[in-house]
Amino acid sequence: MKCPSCANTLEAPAPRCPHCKLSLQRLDSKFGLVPAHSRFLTDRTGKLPLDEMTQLRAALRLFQKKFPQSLFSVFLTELPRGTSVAEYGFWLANRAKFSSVEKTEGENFNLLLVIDLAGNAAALTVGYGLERYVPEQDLKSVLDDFANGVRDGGLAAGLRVGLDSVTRRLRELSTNARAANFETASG
Amino acid sequence: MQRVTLRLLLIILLAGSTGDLSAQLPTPAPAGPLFQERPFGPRPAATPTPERKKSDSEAKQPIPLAWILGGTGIGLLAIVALLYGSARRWRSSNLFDRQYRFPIVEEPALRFGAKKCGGHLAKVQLGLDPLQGEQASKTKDA
Repeated sequence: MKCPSCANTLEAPAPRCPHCKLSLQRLDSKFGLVPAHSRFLTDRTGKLPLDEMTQLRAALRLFQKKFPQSLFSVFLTELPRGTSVAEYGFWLANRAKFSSVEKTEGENFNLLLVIDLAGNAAALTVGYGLERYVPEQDLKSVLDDFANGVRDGGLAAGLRVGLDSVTRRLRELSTNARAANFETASG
Repeated sequence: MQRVTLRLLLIILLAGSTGDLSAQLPTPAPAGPLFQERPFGPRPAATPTPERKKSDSEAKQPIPLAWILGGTGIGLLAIVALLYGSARRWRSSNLFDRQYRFPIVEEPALRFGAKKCGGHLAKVQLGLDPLQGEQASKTKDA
């Protein structure tokens, strides 16, 4: 596991990063109040056209039908210069209430994609429930697909490509995880 | 002798009476019709055909147009309701769109005082031109 701020590897679970002293409380004082957000898609920049937002919300709703445990939320913003999108994503994933039912610890299978248009960066983070099954390499390849889609067809097209990519990967990972779980239980 | 004479006389008398009897019987002839019209008196008129009942004539009346329209409307509503229910059932049954689930992790390694997400993430630089974004936002603000 890595620290979302300094990216150093942690040997054991810790209340704060031994390298950069990062903790959620520290980020609270850094970012302040949680910005207004909605369940599936939040555009704080106003860059996404309304019809695109409607289509993307429908696609994200369909994603939740396929993966009933998971809520995939997309948050578009323009962070102040020098703000780490990874830190912000980690903080927002813990502080925002994208769902009326708050799932914590191993029951949190949610995903959050934060796109910082000012910093020209994006971060994809998952809850504790998914981190055992979804390796960082898979998250990275989903983000690469998203970035390629953005370069080719713009933001909305990139989001669609990224959503397809994450759906495909989670489908494989879920099948593998359930098969492994079944073998462990039976053997 | 007298007895013999008396018996002979009796025989003769009896024989003579049977001959008369055979002569009196009529010769057999075909009988006439059993039911003969009465040869006299006025003939009664034919029995009139009874008129049909009133209810029979009402059944032949055409169904009112309002009834036909109402029945068709109710039928259409029932079909639409049936189709709507079927469509909802079809969507919710998720027949061809399989659902995927992950086993729940019992004791995850909690970090940084966070209860939902421990910072397991990836990040990427996008290919967007930041100046383009700034110009767009400035234009919007103006």
